[in-house]
Amino acid sequence: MLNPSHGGPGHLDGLVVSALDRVGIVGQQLRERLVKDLKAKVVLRGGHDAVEVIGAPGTGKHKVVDAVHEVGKSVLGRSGPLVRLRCDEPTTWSVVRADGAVGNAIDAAKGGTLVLERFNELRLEERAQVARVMRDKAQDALILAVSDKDPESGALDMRPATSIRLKPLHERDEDIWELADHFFGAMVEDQLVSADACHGFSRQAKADLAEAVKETGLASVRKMNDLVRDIVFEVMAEGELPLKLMSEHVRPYLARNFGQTEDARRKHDAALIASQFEAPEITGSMPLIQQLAETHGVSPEILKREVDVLREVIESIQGVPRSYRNIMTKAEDVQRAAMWVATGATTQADFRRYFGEEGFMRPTKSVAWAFYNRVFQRDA
Amino acid sequence: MTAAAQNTRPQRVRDELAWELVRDEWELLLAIGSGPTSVDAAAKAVEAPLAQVQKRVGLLAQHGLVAKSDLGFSLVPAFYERREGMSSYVRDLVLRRLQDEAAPPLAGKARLDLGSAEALATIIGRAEAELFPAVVELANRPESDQSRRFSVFFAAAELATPGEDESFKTRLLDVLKAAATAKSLDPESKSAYLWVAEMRVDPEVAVEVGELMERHLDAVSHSRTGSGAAVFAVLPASRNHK
Repeated sequence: MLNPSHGGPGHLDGLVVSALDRVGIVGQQLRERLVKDLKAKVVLRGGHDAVEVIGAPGTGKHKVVDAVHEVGKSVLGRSGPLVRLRCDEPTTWSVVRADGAVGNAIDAAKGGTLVLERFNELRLEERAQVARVMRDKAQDALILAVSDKDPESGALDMRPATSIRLKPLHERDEDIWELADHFFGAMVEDQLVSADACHGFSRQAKADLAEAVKETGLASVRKMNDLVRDIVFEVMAEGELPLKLMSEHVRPYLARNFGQTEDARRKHDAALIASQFEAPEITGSMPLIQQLAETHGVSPEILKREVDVLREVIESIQGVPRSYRNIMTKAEDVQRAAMWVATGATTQADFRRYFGEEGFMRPTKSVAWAFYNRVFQRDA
Repeated sequence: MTAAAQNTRPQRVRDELAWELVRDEWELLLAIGSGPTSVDAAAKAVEAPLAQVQKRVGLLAQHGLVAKSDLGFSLVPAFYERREGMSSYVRDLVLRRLQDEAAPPLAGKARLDLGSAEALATIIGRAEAELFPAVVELANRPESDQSRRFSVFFAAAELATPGEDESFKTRLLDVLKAAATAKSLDPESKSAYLWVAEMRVDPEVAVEVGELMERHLDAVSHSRTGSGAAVFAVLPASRNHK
């Protein structure tokens, strides 16, 4: 087995991202979540804990299963097969007990991945049997239990050790635009439309699509694909595709099929704006003194002391205007004097030696001479 | 609304397809600038293959965003009105820029004492007629070796409940949010405004733009009634965004 920490966390992230790419998982929001989940729930556990994959129909559970299997191969060094067992088929359980059937399937998937499809449809007593087998034989295969929904309360303690929950599409605001582009791109790949003739959806059209998904509570990514194709084919039926599919092409369809209104679009947009401005990366910022201290590699306390000293230096300027030039000259002179004291030099030669034995580390003789004259205010 | 560098008073463009091309080809348009810029130079600036850039510039010319002369291409002067949801516009063109720049703005000012919605409408009208064309004129000065990209934001809106934190950043975000929300809910609102410009200029010109905008805001008289607010900021654009 590969050591998951080999190559550092960035390397591991890269391997997981590659697995997501290979199975075609689209949507930055979902991908970022999955990178964390696959590391925490599969990789770091060595694939020895069964994982329940929960999500409404069409949310991409089987893509996630494929991704876990890929991660098992590329990160955990597994080479066994991907075996699927349906938990809702009475014939499966009529021949042998549930634990026997699952035990046999684990053997078949040895060194690979076992997928228990429709896990939530198991009866309570079957679930108890399967949970026991999953614990006992967890070393033999990576076990994934796929469920459309959470089990009823009585079955909570008969679940796999951990779970990956997939959000419904309407809660993945940031992914909807990307999916619209992806599904349009798939139509280009299938040569249903020409990429030269049409560049896909406009930003406004994608915002309109996102509003419809949100407003109707659409959970399924598959349905989103249907929606994109439907719109494109409808526009094609009316003539040539435009350079971009814009709001004028999308809105009539959305109004007709989802009852979308201008008012709903505006409210959705305003709600998005509010959430964007409330995001921690926008509102949260460290105090300036801390930011600058970090920038210059000193502690905030040192910077604060430096500020206090500088204020006093400025206040000490008398008889001349406190202009930028006068302040900087005074501040630099005081800094030079402080530097001389800090070196403990008793001669200019001492001062030069303070910076090191090698010539390149020391100020040149002329620089040291100028420094000496500034510190002691000699009129050179 | 976005201003592009220009030589004459810019036309107003309200077309969704033109807006899409502006957003898609933001970098290429900035690379072409007031020109004349050869396709070869533009391709080098955006680090893309020449044949591909030729095609893209051709499309921009076909839709009237750039004009061809004997020496190359130039931007066609225009104010492009936003033709996308306000949320994506604010996310891409305002918040990402604010987020990416850790240093404070080069210039900026917030006023929360601008009075009623009617007074705001007047202030916005004056900004449209005088301030923005003057900013664009400044931005159109010849570039220097020191030239780099700057973003300029101007927002005005009624601000019922300003945040307790009186820092400039908080005020800037407060007014930007109020303006974006008001315009999103009512695109025809005369008392809310959000203007974004991106320019490639010498830093001294950017400072002058800030001084110009500050003078404009300072010239507005103080009002004791109403919740009219306006803010502007000029900041370096540290990364390329679409």
